[in-house]
Amino acid sequence: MSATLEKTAPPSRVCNVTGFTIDRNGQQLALANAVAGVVMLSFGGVLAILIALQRQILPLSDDWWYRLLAAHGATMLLFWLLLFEVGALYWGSTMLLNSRMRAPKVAWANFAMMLTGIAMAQWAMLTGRATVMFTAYPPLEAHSAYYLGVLLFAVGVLVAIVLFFANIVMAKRDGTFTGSLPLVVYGLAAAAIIGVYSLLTGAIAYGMLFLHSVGLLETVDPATYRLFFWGIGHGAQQVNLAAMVAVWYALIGLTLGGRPVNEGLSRFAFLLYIAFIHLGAVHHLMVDPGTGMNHRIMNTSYMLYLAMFASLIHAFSIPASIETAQRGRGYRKGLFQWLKKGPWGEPGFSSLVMSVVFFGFIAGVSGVLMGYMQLNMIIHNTLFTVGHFHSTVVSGTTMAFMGLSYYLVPLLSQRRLRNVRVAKWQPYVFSGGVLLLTLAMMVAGRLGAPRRVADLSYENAQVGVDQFSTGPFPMMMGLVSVGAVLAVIGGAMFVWVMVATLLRGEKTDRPDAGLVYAFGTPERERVAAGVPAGERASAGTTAVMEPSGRLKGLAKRWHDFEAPGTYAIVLFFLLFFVVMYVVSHLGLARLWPVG
Amino acid sequence: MAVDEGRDEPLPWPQRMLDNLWLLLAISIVVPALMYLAWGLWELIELPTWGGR
Amino acid sequence: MNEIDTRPTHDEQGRELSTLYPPRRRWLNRLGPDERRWLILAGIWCLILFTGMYVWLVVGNQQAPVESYRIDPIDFQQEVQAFVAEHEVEERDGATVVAPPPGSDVYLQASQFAFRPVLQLERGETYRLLVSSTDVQHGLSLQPVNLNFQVLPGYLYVIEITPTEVGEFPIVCNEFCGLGHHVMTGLIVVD
Repeated sequence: MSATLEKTAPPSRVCNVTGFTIDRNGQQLALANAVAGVVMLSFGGVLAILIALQRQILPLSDDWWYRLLAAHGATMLLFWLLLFEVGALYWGSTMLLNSRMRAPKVAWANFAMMLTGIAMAQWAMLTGRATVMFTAYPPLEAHSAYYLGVLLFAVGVLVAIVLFFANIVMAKRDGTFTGSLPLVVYGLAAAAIIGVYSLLTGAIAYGMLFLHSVGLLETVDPATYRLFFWGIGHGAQQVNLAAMVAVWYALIGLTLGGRPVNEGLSRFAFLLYIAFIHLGAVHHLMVDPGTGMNHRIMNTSYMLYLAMFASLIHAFSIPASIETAQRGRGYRKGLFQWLKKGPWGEPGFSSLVMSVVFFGFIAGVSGVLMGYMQLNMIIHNTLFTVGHFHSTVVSGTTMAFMGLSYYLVPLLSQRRLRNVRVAKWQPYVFSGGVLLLTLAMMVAGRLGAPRRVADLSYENAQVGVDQFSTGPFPMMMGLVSVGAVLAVIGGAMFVWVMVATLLRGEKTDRPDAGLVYAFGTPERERVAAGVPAGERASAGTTAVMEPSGRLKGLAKRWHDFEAPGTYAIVLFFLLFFVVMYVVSHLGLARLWPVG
Repeated sequence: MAVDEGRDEPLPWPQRMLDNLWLLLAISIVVPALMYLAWGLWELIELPTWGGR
Repeated sequence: MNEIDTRPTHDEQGRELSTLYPPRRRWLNRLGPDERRWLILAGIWCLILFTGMYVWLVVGNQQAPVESYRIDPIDFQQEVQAFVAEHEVEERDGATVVAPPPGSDVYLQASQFAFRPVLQLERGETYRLLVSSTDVQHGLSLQPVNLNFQVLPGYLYVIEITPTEVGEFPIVCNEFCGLGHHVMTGLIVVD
């Protein structure tokens, strides 16, 4: 940094744990957005429990059930995830680059605008003026405040993305980092880039509805709306996906000091996401009137499944990064000693593993299969869909973001993590609950249970349907509720740890984080001695790096396999994928001929 | 950890391409805007009107 | 011999590489052998999935319908009324039952909050269901067969089905369509 820059720059400090230069504006903004996100997560959790228990216990009216369902969807899918992602963007573009936050006043005004948008949308939804669900399909109508609120929020995210790029450009110009972006920041940049198209199409879709609601547009064509809406409806989930993968890489760095096994390959995978993942928006239009066969197949396959190919790259490179880091630490016996000896009591590590495994096996496989044109007929709008997206954004993204919070919050607030024992158990309780919930929803949905239905008894219907009151359905819906309760308990444990840390955590300029919990004493000593993390020879246990920097022993034992355990895992994953594909087709072939 | 690469050695083009965030941004908008949106809108516009049974 | 070991673990400043720090200046490396093997497998799987959709178009009997038209909701409603008047056979719990001739075009109207009319079809015959909505979007979900389609106002969706089982098959709405969404049903009876 030049001398003039230091004079004009706002106060910053050097983190004693990571060695990064921490800009206070960036720190406060990242923390504020993340905390606002967690407030939304807490509110969404309360809504979740009300929705889940209505069928069993609570005497909610149908009207209120739909209101709360609408609010739950918007709160979780939009407000919680995107607020946290904005926080992550500020973190990645300032602190990880040793740089400072540009236009902090704009960022704060933007934050206020996003909160205003949230308040408007929540007001409309909770007062019954906007019971249209997250999808807001026309011709259903909502109060204009709802559309405007969501639009303000979306514009806010777009402004945050612009600030993110401004931070990167200026950091590069100031020379606070040289060469390429760190992989984590690169992943966040991919998320931000994916967010631009997504937010633009969303602004068009919700913009049309807003204009209609204030009388400036006569009608909104439902098929055209669906085409645009899924640009954000699905696109925002691709932002979550890219951000989640970036956070996975961050957690590998934070919990294991790991490096990407192949920098170039991981970045290439992000390029494939950027180019092709948006085509998957058509997953929602597979059984719609309107577009033709080739449009459906080319788009639903993300152009020959190139975006899935990217996910398969990450599916290899994430566990391989964990494996090489662990093998480098000395855990080299057999195929899986590296996994067995993982720091399972470390919330960041267990969050990472839960997130990767459940996202890959459940969310990923189900997502590709339900986006498969013909298979979509047996899935579209059933509870299976709901199970699928809970496994993506809750099991996957939310779990990963929680894992990251266990470091970000202590490091940014300069407080020691409190209730460490609660934090250790939290990922297991939360993931277990969500797993139960998603699997039960998927089974019920595969058997036909519809989504967004307040009451599956169909008691007051003209033509009665008792199918969902018999057989496996009552038990499945019961399991959904049990899973929801468990997941909300897990969520509450997370919020409890965060609130306790922020309010009552011991003030320190060397908060224990990441590697400290993972590897105990040596790392604690490094932190206490004030040696920045980047300068360590290796973290914790015995170093096994040869002077050349090569990993010792692997090649001898496993011939040319660098990550043999990972190879076994991904082969098993592929086998599972193939089996699910075949099983799905057997189910499809049994149906009535249709076309 | 040998420092074996020259500082000024030109970088391979795939690396430069992947590092160009503006190029990536353009790709991320153009590909879905053409393949998904424009193509889809075209098919909706071209959709025939029902002429009865 | 072991290309895998050639990848660097430290950057030019001697700092251990991490996902959190900038990579070495030149980070484009050759693929390791296990990476290469995995990518080949993954690529093959991608191509199988992609061509699989086109293969199923030829060999499968269950296809996502694509035939669709624009239609004015008012015209649609009139055509449904004419169709019902032509083929009505009875009233059942307040719902009109129609028995269209085998192999014919059959209207099914989705409106808040019912699918009308009740259809009486014959097993093994192929019908063209002409489906649309007169108000908001709905979801046609045939139970317990579990076939699901989106229904849009202003668009006529032609769904060709061949019932292969005898019995009563309820239809439920699986797209949120208003506060009566959970009472929106219909029925197909197959003799």
